Amino acid sequence: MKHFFVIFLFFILSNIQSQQKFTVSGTVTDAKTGETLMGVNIFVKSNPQKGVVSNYYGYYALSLPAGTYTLVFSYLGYKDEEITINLQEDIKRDIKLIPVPETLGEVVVTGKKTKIRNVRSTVLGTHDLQIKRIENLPVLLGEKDILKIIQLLPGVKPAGEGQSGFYVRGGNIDENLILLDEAPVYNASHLLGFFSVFNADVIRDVKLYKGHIPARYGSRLSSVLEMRMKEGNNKKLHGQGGIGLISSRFALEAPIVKDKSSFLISGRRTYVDLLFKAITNDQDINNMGLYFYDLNLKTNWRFNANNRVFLSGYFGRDVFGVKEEESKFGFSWGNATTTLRFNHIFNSRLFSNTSLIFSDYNYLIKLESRDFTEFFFSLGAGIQDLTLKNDFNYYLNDRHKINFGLDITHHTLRPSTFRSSEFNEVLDRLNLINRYAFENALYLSDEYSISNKLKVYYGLRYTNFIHLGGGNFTKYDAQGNEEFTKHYDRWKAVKTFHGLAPRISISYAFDEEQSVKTAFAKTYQFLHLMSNSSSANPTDVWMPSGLNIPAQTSYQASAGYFRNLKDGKLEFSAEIYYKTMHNVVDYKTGTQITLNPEVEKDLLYGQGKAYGLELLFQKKQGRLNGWLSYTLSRSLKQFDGINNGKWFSARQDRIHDISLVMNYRLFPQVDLGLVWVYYTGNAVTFPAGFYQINGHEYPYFTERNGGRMPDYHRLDLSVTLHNKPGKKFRSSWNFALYNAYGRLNPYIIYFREDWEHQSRNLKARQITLFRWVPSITYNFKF
Amino acid sequence: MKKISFILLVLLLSVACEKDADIEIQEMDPVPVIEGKFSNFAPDSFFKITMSKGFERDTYGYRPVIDAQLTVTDSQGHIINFVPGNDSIYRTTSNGIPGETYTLKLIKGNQQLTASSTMPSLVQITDFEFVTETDNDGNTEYKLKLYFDDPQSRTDYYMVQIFYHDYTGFYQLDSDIYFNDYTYDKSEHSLSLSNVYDSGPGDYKVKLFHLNKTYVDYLNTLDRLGNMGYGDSPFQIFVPGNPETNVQGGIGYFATVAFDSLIKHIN
Repeated sequence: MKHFFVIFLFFILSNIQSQQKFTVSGTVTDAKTGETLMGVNIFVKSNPQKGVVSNYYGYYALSLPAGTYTLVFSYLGYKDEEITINLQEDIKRDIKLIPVPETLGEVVVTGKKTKIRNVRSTVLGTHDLQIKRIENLPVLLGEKDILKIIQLLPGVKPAGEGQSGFYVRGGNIDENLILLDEAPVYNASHLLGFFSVFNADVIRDVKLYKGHIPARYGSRLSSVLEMRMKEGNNKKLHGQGGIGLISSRFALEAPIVKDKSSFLISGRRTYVDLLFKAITNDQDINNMGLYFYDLNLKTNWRFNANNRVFLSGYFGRDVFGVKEEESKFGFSWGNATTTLRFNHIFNSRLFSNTSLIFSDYNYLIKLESRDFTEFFFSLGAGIQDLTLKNDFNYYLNDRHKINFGLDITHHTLRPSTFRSSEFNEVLDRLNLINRYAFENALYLSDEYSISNKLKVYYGLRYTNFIHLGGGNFTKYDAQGNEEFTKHYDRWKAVKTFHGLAPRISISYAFDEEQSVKTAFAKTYQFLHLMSNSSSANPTDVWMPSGLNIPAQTSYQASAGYFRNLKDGKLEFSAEIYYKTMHNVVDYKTGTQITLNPEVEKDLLYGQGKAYGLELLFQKKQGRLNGWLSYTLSRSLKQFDGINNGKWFSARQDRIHDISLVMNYRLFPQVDLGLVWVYYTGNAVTFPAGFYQINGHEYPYFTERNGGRMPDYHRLDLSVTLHNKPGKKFRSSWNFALYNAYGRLNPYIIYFREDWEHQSRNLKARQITLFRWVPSITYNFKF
Repeated sequence: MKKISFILLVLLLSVACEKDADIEIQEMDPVPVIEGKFSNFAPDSFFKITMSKGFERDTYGYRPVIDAQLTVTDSQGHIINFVPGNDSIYRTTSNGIPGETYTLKLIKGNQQLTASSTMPSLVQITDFEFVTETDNDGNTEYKLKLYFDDPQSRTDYYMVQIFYHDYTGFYQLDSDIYFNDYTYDKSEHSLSLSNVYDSGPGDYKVKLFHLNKTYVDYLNTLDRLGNMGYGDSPFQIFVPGNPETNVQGGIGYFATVAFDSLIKHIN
């Protein structure tokens, strides 16, 4: 810690130069909607190495010696804007960028900005995704799904067929921090993982950190997926929506006070249940309900040039219900998040954002008599966070951009709550006490341009996790035997963890076309998802580190070569990484993970390592655009209690992974989309034989994850027909075919007895879920 | 639009299909499987031996092995022989001693299975009685109230068998009941029963087996695995694998148990 601050001060002090500098600052917005733009490149035209990138709220500040400069504002999908300034004092310039009309059929950008972003920045192992680029891609059942598109990037792998869960660089599904307007989303899936909770119509920016994770983020080992909702058009009323095979969605945004405040409201609901009810008189179907819905809300108010408030929320739920003559059964699960943010500009160099964030995930299973009197039974669990964040950007000079702040989060984990009209000894054991914890962090980082060619990002995050009391806590030994049980009062610390997580990234640009980068990151994780399933099981619960579960840590080193070709129209990158993970959680054989009140007895703690090579070749502009990615990687684990302590493949140990994504504008009104994926099958546990005990037959396994699912590959195609645009109304039809060549990818593998010639043989059988899945979606906007 | 959606939906449901899976299976060679227990009372000591199977099997199922050599050796090197009877079950005439550590050796052709286990201490039953309790809904519950010399300040694991005497002798009434004193740690325990009172008045015998925790863990894991199914499914809630065992070179568990029994006439 001390060394870090000595280095920090050395770098800062050594660069405070005597030459007088002034700052040009302001906010970059979309000229049409008034929304702020994050990630805009701002640089001096005569010296492109002098520049900054706008922050999450569109704010920028660039300090330069007194003089006259032409600044270029450049952002993918927008026309470049140039302004000339005579900098003799601190000045403020708000900039409005004009979006390129969609009818041009391609995104027109200058080469320079692409080159600068890709080659010059210290960013390594990070992906930005623009929603516009993925709008026409073929997706399962026509549901635009950001998490599915993320899975097509190198180093990111889907959890399974059609699943929105994903693995990043060999990490587990629960090692990804998914943020929506800064609020963590603990279960980002609908319908057992086939759809994500994120409605692409309301998402503005998507950023995935998988290697270089800035110091302002923590809490997860493998990645941070950050999504920002649109702010709402503050110029005029705007709407968009879609009618699809299984769901429809609609979003409306408009100014409340023009140029000052706006709102956004969006809803989505599936209607398979309604459709069935409309076409059949079958009583069983009419008594059944299965659907999900999402609601996104956002509003903002600009008080003046220096103060702005945002309030946003997401509410979504899956509902499954069956009504019978005397009883009704219900199973529902969902997330709710709320984020209140306050932007304040202290002066041209200091920008702050203060956020108050609420996040809740819960599920509830209910069975009750129809008249609500005779009996009821309910079982639920969940997790709830309340967070206060204070984040500062300090633009010290043109060489140093300092970021610091603090996070304070209070977690409430509800492992299991059982209610019943009758006492049941077995089920009552599922009534577990809530777990409480504080997770706090302080962080400081500096993005330092040492020279035009050499840049370094260095940061440090101090993390503190306090598992709080509020009941009896049992400590188990490694064999699952009880060591002691002790009562802890509600606000007394049961167990406290501390840690320092350094982050560093260095880039060296040979010229404007190519650079090399390297990064190192240490991360901590204190919350763990109890799950052995590759689908998003709504009953999976989160458990905190405490008396039994240690804190997980990860160390990742990565390096990459970045190259731009054809004046920045083509980008190539090659990255390698090596990651070690410590105190990772696995389970003893036969452990029942769900609804197990003593699951902590059955946990094993070991280590993991993941390494790989990621290649990405992408073309972001032109009639034909898209990307090709290839990942060669391994993900291994080692536990004393599994496979005799030998290293073995993690479930997500897929050696080869290829994704090809292409958009092609055939005619001005016709877009074609193509996605092809291939990856090595999951490492899984298959039986090697069978035996009988006490008259029952059991499978015998040679080793955990010693088998392989068959390799997976699939081609998806789409055609988007844009109707002739009206003055204010645009619409299109999207026709898609998922798994176009009908590859029989297994969703489930099981073993079945077959009788052949007087012998009883067991055969492995597979169930394929999605083969030739067509979809049609009507999209519109006004 | 509704018609189109419906047609496409039906199409989607109909395209889910099933076929033989194209996967590589590492099929194991057959190995000996042992089940049974060695106790402090010879008539209650027995082992059954079978062989494991691969994926292809005949119609005869798991036939018992009767040509194996099975011995149990104590820590002093005394060898206890087990021999198969007409029922293909291996039995002995020697009693085990609680607290003693035993090593089992099974030789079948060129295959050898070994295991080691320490017999738990003997826990004596002091009394038992059958009681009825009424639950919140007015239903009558039959319970066995058991009094025994439970070792204090530690968790012990037990199995209880209840017998009723009729003209043929004692026969077991209820299935085996497993419990531990983790929650109570006291010398009295109420166990729910299913049908004891149906047998009416007569002589009842209760056997209390003191078990090793590792054996109970083995049985619990086996029970879970039996309900698991095997293969790979996104909805798997159990972790597949083999139960932890003390057996090397084969499958199963070498259980050593100590039991006490009490006979009582109940009107």
